[in-house]
Amino acid sequence: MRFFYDMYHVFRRDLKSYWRWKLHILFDTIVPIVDIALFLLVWSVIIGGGFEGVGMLNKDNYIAYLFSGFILWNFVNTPFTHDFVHSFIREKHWKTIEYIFISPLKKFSLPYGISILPLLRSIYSTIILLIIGFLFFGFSIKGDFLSIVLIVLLTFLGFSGVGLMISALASWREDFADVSWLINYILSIASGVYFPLEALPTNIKNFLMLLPSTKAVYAVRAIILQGVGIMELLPTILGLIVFGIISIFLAILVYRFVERKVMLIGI
Amino acid sequence: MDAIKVSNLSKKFKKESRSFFTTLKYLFKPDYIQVLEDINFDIKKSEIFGFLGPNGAGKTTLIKIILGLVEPDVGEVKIFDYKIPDEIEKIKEKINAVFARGGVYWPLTLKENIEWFGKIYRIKNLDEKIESLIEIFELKEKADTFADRCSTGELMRMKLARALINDPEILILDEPTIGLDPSIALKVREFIKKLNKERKTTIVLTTHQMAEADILCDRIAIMNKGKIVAKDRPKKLKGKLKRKNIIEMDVRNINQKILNKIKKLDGVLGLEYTQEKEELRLITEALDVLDEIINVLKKNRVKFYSVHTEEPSLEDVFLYITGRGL
Repeated sequence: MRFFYDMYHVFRRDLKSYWRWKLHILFDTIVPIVDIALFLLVWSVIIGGGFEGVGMLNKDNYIAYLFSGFILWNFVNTPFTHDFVHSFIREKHWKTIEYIFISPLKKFSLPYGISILPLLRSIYSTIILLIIGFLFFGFSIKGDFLSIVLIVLLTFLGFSGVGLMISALASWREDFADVSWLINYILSIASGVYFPLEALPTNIKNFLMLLPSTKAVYAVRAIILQGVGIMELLPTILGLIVFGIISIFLAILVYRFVERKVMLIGI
Repeated sequence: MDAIKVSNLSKKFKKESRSFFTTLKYLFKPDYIQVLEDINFDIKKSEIFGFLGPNGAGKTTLIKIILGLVEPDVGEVKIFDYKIPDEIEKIKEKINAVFARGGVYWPLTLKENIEWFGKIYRIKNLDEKIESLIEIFELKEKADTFADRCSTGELMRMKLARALINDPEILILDEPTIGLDPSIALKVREFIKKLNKERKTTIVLTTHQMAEADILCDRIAIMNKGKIVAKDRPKKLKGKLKRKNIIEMDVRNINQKILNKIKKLDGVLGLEYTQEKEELRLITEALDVLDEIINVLKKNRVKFYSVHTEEPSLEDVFLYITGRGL
C-alpha cells in the first residue's frame, strides 16, 4: 500500500509541475493530430499509386491499419520518453535525489510514479486519435476493446522495465539516456508500426516477428482489423507477460547495481 | 545512548577522468583519493555538533555516510544504535537534512515543495504544520511563488522549513548559511539555536565559517584533509592558544617566497595571508619573534602599516593545528 501511496504522490507532484505551463495540453492535443495527418498523407499517395496490399494492409483498410499501429505505439513510446528516462537524472541535477533517498519514500515508487503522467498523456493522445478516427475516417474496431486495453497494458509494463533500466543506468552515466531514443526509433521501424513487415525479405520478417513489440502491434491490428478474439491471442499475451516479468526483474537488478555503484562513489 | 556514533571510519574514492585514455588507464590501474581517514566521534542527544574545515576536507562525504547515502570502506556508523546504512530504514522518520546546494523542485511553489515532502513523510495535519513552518520562517508572502523566482535566502529558509516537516530528532545541516545575506544568515543561526533549545533537536552541521561554528556549536570537530585534527568545545579549543600570540599586520607587496621565509623563523607556529585584505596573520610562541619578522619584511622591501595582537579565534586554532588558513 505504501508503494502505491508514494507512487500517487510522485504523480501529483509531477502533475503540478505539468499544469504550471498550460500550453502542454495544447501541444499534447496537436502532436498526435499532426502525426497521423502526415502519415495518412504519405500513405494515401502510396495507395493512390496502385497498391495491391501486403499482409493485413490493403487499399481499403490503410487508415485503420495505421491507427492501430499508432494506438499501441503511443504506449510503447512512453517508457522511452524524456520524462521517464530522465527521471533520476533530473533528481540528480536538482540535487533532490539526496532528499528522496533519506526520506521514507519507497524506491521504485519514484520511477513508476513518474511514469503515470506520461502514461496519462499517452492515453490522452490515444483518445484524440480515436476521436479523429471515428469522426473523420470511419475508423472502427471489429474486435473486443478490452482485449486491446489488455495488450496495450502488458506491452507498456514490459517496456517500462526497459525504460527503468535505461533510467537507472542514465543516473550513473548520463549518456545511457541516448539509448532510449535509439531503441525507440529502431523498434518503431522494426515492429511494423508504419509499414507491413511482410514487405521485407522472409528471413528478416521472421526475425523481427520475435520482438515483443512486433507481436503486440500485430495482435492489436488483428483485433482492430480482423476482430480476432482474446483466446486466439493467448500465446502473444503469455509472451508479453513473460517479457514483462523478465524486463522488470532485470530492471530491479540494474537499479540495485547502480544504487550500489552510487553508494560507493557518492551521488 | 549516543545520537550518532562513528568509529574507525575511512573512505576513499576511485579517481575518474573525462579523458578516454586516462579512463582506460584507471580501468587497469585504479587510482584512489583518500577522502576520510580513521574518523571517530560521538554526538550526544540534544547537542549541536559542528564539523569545521576548508572545502575538500571531507565534511560533506562524512555527512552523506552518516545519512546512508555513501557507504564507508571501513568503520561503523550508528544512529540511535542502528547500524547505517543497513538499518537506515528504521530511523528515516527521525532524521532529516539540508544540503547546501540544490534540493529544490523548481517548477513547484515553495509551499508545494514543503507539501510534497510532508506527503512522503506521511505527516498528519499537514496543512496546519505547513502553515506554522511558513510562519516561523517568514515565508508567508512567498509561499505561493514558484521556486525558480525566489532568492537564495528564501530557498534556504524553505529547505529548513521542509527539513522540520517530520520533527526530526536529528537534523543534519550542510553549510546552512552558505551564500546567504548576513542578515538572513543571522536569522538562520538564531533559528538553529532556538530549535535546539526548545525542541532538544540534535543538530549536526558543517561549516567553513569559524565564527558560525563558534557561536552555534557545543562541540566542534576540526577537519583537514579527511582527518579530524581536533575535537572539543570551542572555548577549550581556543584555550590551546592561551599562551600563544596572535599578530595581525597590514602588508603590501608580499609574495610566497617571503611568506615561506617568515614561516621558517623559529617561534612562528602558523601563518595565513589574505590577499584580498592584504592581511598577514601569525601565531607565534612569543612576541620576541616580531623583530625578526619585521627584519625579513624590511629586507625584502615589504611595506607594512599596522601591527597588532588579537584574541585567539577558532580560525587561529585551525591555523595553529594545520599550519594553514581556511
